[in-house]
Amino acid sequence: MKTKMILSGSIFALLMAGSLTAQEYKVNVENAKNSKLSLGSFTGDLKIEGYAGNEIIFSPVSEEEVKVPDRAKGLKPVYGGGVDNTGVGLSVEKNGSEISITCLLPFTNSKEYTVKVPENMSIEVNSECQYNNNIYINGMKNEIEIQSCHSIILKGVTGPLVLSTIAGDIEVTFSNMASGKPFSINSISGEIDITLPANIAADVEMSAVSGRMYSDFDFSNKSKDMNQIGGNELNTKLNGGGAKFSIVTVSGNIYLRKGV
Amino acid sequence: MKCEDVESVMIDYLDNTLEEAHRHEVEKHLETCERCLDELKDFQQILHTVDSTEMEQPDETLRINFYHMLHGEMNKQVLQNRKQPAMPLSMRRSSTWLRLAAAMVLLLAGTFIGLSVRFVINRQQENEQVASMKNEMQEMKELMMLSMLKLESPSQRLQAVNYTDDIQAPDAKVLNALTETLNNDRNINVRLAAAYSLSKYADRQSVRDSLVASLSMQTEPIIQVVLMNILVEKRESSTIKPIQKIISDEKAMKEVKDVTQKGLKILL
Repeated sequence: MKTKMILSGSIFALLMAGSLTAQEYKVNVENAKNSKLSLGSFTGDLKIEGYAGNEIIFSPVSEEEVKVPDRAKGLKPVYGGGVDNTGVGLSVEKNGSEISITCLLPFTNSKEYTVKVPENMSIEVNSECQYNNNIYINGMKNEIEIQSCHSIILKGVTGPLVLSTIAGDIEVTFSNMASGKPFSINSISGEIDITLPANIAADVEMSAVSGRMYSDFDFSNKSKDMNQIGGNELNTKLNGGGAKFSIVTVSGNIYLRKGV
Repeated sequence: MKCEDVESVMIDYLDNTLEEAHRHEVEKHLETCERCLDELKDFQQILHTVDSTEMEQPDETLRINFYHMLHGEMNKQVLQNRKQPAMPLSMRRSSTWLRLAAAMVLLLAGTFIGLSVRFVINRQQENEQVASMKNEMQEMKELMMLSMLKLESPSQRLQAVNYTDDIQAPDAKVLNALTETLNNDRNINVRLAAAYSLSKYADRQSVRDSLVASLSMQTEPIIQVVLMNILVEKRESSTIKPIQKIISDEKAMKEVKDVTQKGLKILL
């Protein structure tokens, strides 16, 4: 486990070191806890890493640098979706406590970005189905709202989480889970794999229409086990109950694991 | 240890609040002194009576008798004081009696207050109070729900929808707010939570009607599936039309079509 952590840490360090040579774009965040980062229209994988700083740092991860042709000398790249005010293909808008960052590249031009974000910020990601991107978020300590079409992989987050996807998997492991907040996760055809702290106090409501549900939590004292039309719904109180933790899937399976 | 010393601590002795050494001295004295032992028994008798009357509800005659007793005791004391102005033993005795009398007054006053409180708040009113508090809580939750539905954070809007679980009999205002959320909230999860909350009232025709209307408007596959499941479970035949629309929709996902086809079979 430890070596795994060191390994992944060093891979991350390498990644960051590598990206240092590439172009970077930074946005200063004043009151991170009450600010929200809203990300939209990213054409490739989006990797978000929470850290104890006060800047949002964007680094495009690309093997080949886009060659600016000689003819473009004195000109700037322009896009249909907005003004590139970053130099890395992104449009940044600050509106009160919300910072919106939109990727301007056409969906045919898949580009991967890594983003370092102050860990106390809220995050919202909107990703429509034409964009072929998976979303990875690591170590964020505030609300995360994602509406996507592909996979959502969250590690060491606290929530609250409001996640929805169509065809991708959803995987979540928590660090300190926010208590008393509602969690809602749903998917159509992907697998939902959640590891909850063993001592979580929550009202868990799971529903799999044509998929199956698996868990190592003790559901023997469940309040209701209702077989629905072509589906299976389970409502139960874990450790006395608490805020609602809702998981809904249509054809995928639900894996609810007991963590430490 | 002299008799008066023992007498002054007798109540404490009976209450078992004396220190070990002090207690031994008293016991040693009691072994040899008949008079003090008799007095101790008297005290015991009084305390026992006090203890047992505590359980009874004192009536008016007891109160009058007590005041007679108290006045008699006070008069006696005045007379005694006149006869023997400087006799320490009787002073101590009467002071002990006064302590006891004061204790009785306190006890009776306490019982009276207790009784009158019980009269004022009888069970009926208690229930009414609890009910009105529940009502207030419900109204508060309703207000909170309606205002929280307008908040920016989706988890707070989810919380608002979840509050309706605690509202026993939601009025039209609450149901309309839920329907509005189901149709217009910008977040899928919040819309889905609204659908589940409304499903609890799907026995009402008006709720089923708004769910059917919503089903024909929704484009999000997960909401289509969940709404259809709710309506098929209630055997709502007007669901057939929007279901057929989804099945004939070329853009609809295969997973959604599979589920809706199953639903259609049940309804037809």
